[in-house]
Amino acid sequence: MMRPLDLLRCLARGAAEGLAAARRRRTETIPARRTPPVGVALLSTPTVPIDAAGKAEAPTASHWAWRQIAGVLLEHGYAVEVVSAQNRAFTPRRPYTVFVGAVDDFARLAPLLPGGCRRLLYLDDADVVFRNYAELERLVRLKDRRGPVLVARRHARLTPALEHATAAIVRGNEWTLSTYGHARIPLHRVPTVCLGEHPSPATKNVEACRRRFLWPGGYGLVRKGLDRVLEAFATSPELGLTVCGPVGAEPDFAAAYAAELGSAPNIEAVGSVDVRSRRYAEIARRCVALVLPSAAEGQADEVVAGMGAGLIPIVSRESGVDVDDGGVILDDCSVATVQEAVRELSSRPAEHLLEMAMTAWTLARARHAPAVVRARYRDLLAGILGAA
Amino acid sequence: MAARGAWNAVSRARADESGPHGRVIALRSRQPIGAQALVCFRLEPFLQVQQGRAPDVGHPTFWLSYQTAMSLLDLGYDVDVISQHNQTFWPRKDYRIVLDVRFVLQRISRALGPRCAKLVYLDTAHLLFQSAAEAGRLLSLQRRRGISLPAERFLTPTLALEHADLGLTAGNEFTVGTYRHAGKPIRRMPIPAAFTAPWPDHRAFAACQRRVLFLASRGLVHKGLDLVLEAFASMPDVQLVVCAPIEAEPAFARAYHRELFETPNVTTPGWVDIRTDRFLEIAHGCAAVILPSCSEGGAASPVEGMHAGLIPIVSRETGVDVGDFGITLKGEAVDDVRAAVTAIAELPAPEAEQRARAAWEHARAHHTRPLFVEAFLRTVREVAG
Repeated sequence: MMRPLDLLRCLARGAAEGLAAARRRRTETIPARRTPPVGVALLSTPTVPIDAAGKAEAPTASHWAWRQIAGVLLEHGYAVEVVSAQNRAFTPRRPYTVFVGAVDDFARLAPLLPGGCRRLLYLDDADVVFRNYAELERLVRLKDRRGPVLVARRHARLTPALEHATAAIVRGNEWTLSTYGHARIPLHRVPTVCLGEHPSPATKNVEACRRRFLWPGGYGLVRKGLDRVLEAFATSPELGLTVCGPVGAEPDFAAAYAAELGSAPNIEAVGSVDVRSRRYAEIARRCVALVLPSAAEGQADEVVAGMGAGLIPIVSRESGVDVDDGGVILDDCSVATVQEAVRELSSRPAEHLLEMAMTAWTLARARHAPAVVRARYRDLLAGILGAA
Repeated sequence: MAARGAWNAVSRARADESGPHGRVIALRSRQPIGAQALVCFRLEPFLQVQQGRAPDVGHPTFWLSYQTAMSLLDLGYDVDVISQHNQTFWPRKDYRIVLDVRFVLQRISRALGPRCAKLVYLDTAHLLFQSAAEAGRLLSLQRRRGISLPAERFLTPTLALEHADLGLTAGNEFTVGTYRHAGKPIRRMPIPAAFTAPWPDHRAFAACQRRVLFLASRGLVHKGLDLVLEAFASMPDVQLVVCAPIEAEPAFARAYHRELFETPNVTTPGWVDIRTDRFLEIAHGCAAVILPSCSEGGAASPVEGMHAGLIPIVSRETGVDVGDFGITLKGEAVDDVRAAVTAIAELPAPEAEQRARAAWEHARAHHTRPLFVEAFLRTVREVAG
């Protein structure tokens, strides 16, 4: 006989699973803007619907990117059908001429498509073999350095998606592209969009904020280097750190760093914060720089967003963001190197800090503004579709 | 083994423990000392006995499961055996000894009494190290040859040692080092080699000195077969015999088809049972056994090669000490494999034979199943009084 509490839990779990399954099954069909349509394009994306008309703000940079892809296809006269990349039951039955898919379900869908269909793989992370290794290596180092044994949060299954694609769109920089050096198809780079509009940091009071830094990150806290950043700041009491990320979603990490996250006077954890919110703007105003010693990224959204908010990026090469003179690329991601970098930056003259912040902000606008990135998708897809 | 023979055992499955992983197999000692032990390992050999069959203890983990339970019976313990994957078992007895290998101990340790000795058998290097090491080999392969292969040995790490009083490992100081973070004592055990053989007097050593055996199980990149094949492809005057489950990893077999099946100096019998005459025939045609594995908890295959009279060529990460008679590779590069194989192939025949003999003697003196049993019994007597 099941206890009432267990019964409630069971019902709640069932309802949640039912909703998730319904989301996975959801498809979105967007009619062509031209009659007859040039063809039908299939998009296999992480989220459905993508709301190509953009009635609501895109919740993430990834969502925004898929919306652009759909938009360009519609501009070219295609009807667009969007299916969740988690929908393993979906079987393509229409005469698709273009397929753009995330890696998740690409290798299953691609062979089911008509012979002449262009198969474009959309890659928003470093190569899976690299990033699996990078995260595991960080976890081993953490175990050997401090003792805790944490699980890999971002470990991904290898699929033969690259073997089934005619070309790939890679969100990242040259470093990101280099992780796909083994690919035997054309690879096209696109930048990550900078979500949020923030004023120039020209009048920022850097004297007031030169000692405070932001760690902005998502799921996979060790992969994104939060462990190292916390350790670096725990022994730098003269500096302050604001942690913006889903620490509560990784209880083993939170337990291992309870002292740093809970009682270090110079560290505050504020959870995930929307980069377009006033709260984020306020955090950015109080910080001089962001620090993200990530082990692997495509092109870190959070770094680009921070630059757009006038923060100086201190990042690993593996963050996939070109910071030019507006930031610091870490030689390595050891605790000592992170600590040295933040201390050194904090001690620079105010005018130098302001100049770097301005450069970072300008770079974000020049390379990652929505209009710039949209134009890149438009040119890229026009080239690919024109060649089809 | 007077206390053994406890197959008046009961197997019970609770209503909420459906499936084999939920079963508890209870074994009663014939000379009980009134104490209980729990073994959390593999159930297969016990289920085979329940079905009236002889237990298949050829596989090392099956043997370990079966033998540790039998040893505890011999010491007079009544033994409950559960699967290492059991997620529902909750102790209702006052166990004096618990032996785990994966995830059970971390779940139940708070329910165990203060007199309970909690042991964990560490059959691999630390699982984080192991998974990272394999991932590193896969990345290196991708960069070297442009091939992406899936991980075969990725496993979620356990916290068994953190919840134990003592760890047991058949590995060496390298293996122990991967567990140093836990700050728990770890006792080294003999490698329970499944195979022993007399010294092959009939072998014409000079005739086989340029032939090397690769002997391994699943996880071919993990075990370094890619490195070995690439090395031998550029050493046409040295022969390689590959005894490993190639057919179980078709992506690897496709990627290395030329080296495995179309290279004159490479022969690929595939999986060969080491308990057969065929294995002995193959081994006695070789001078050395090679295993450049990226992570092991004391690899059995080089030791089994030593029992067949072969000189071991191993990576540090195999967790096997090979003294002066074998070669520990300098690194993980194809060139390191090539250098070691060349060094063995070019030894004067009498010296090579002397080293093979020393390897054989070392294996017999340190790494056999009876020696493992002795060490296990000694350990249990010490920790449980």
